[in-house]
Amino acid sequence: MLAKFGEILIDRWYEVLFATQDHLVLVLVPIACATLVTIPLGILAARYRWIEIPVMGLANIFQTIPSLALLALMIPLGLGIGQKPALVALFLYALLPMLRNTYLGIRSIDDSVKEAAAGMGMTYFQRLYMVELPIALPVIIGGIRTATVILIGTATLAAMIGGGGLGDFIITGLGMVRDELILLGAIPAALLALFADYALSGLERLLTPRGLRIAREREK
Amino acid sequence: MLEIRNLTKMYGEGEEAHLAVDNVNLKVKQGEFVVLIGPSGCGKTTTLKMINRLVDPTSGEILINGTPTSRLNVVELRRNIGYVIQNIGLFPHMTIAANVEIVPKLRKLDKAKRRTRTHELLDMVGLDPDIYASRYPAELSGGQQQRIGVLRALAAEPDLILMDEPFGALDPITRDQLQDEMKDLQQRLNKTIVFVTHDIDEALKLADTIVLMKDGKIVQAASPQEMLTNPANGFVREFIGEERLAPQPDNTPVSDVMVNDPMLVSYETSPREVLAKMKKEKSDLAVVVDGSRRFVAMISADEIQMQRGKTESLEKILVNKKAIHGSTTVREAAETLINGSRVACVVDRRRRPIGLVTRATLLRGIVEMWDNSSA
Repeated sequence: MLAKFGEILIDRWYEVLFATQDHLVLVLVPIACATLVTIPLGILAARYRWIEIPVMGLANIFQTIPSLALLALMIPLGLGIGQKPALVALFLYALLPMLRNTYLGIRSIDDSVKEAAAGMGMTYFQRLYMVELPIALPVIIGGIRTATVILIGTATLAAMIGGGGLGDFIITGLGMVRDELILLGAIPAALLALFADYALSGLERLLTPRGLRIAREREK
Repeated sequence: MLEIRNLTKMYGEGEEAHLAVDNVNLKVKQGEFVVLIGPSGCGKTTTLKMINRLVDPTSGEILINGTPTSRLNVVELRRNIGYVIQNIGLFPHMTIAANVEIVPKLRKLDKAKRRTRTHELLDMVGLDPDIYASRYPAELSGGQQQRIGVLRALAAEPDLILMDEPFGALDPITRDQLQDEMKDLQQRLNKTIVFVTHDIDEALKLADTIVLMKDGKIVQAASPQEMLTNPANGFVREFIGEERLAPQPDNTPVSDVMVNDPMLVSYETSPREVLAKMKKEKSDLAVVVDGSRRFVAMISADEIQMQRGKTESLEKILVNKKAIHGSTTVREAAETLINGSRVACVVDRRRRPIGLVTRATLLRGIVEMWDNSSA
């Protein structure tokens, strides 16, 4: 099998490259859009309970629907097949982990820190960008990281509704019972996921304020 | 400098309404150290938080230097009032210097001036700026963190500082140190401080004025001295605790000042034997008791010698039968001794002798009380 895989890799490496490119679009576009939506929503949900309940509830629903079903649902919803419905479904799928992390990141800040910030005369926005966001940032990045890794995996299913990406190889390989084709899609996808996880946890660490890093070490 | 007028805070509606603060009135002078104290739920913290509008009053007003706080911009108001809380709330992601400088920074003071001020303040509490300015809160002990918390409140030189149980989370030794430092700082800088605590010793130690609250109302507002000598009612006494209340002739039982272990003799003893015993124990007063050890009378050596030989029975010469109860106040005992005998026997509920008092004993006791209250 290894031999066959080697052969097909050499033959079709450019296809793998294009598929990876498609795959990256399937992941990065929804993540970018989700970030723009979830950070403000997460901040609001942390502050107002009447926003928290519906918003978190909705995101929860999207996550509990099996990913394949969510993708397939795009068809009767009128989005048809292809890249667009895949992007929408993946966007919806990324919402929960990112929302939850933003929400938790802000909620879990010590009450005394928030009280001190208010008591010394910071406006709401000053509190947000001088205190709450810097402290919550590592957790928020953690949410992006989780969502990205989930999406890299879920995006392989996009192929089922014509979304393209590395899933194409996997699904074709399954249909034709050709292992080497499956690997052609699965291995790059796995590598992508590992790399994304590694790179984003590095980012998480980088963006953790020094004071917090020290605090965390002390707790150990 | 600070005036609280008819301040009320009500939570809930209708039947579930709860008055956290009930028509509180208070005037605070510039440079005064006021301590709000009382049992949990008495409204002291709520009152404090209405001063910097972290809580908004239901009715009434608070005036700072004559201006009602409701008319001031809330953010500006808070930047002019120092605020120190129990769990400190230092910003963990900022350095100590950044933490201290925060209000000057919000007020757009320039960097160089901020730095100088921070260094000044760190020096003032004995934390070497070169070492501590660039450290992070997590690297400091609880006591050091709270000192920074206080510095942060002082940085913009506010006239008024609010402190909500600031030393509650610290160990007793650190708490003691910080209390001393705080009192010292306040006097040097002439700041007005409103301080909330539930610890009566802390209040007695720090306050110029103690405001004791219960169920949202002020029960008594007075200097520590005044509150100790003239507690307004039973609740105040109970809250302060009997052991702290200044002993006074009016509230000290005579058993606290009496001479203990008086010499006891049975009433069947002959006068000669009593005298012999007195010589032996070098005492010229004895208490005569009956078979059940109950007080019969007192007898002095003089009285026996005057009767010398004329009688064998003790009973015939007993004169002084004055006994006072152990719980009689010193004042009452003094009145008894002034009007009658020079010595009285102190007895318990069952009329058994527990001590004696002479005029000299009482005088000594009263002088000690004076010494203690002026200490």
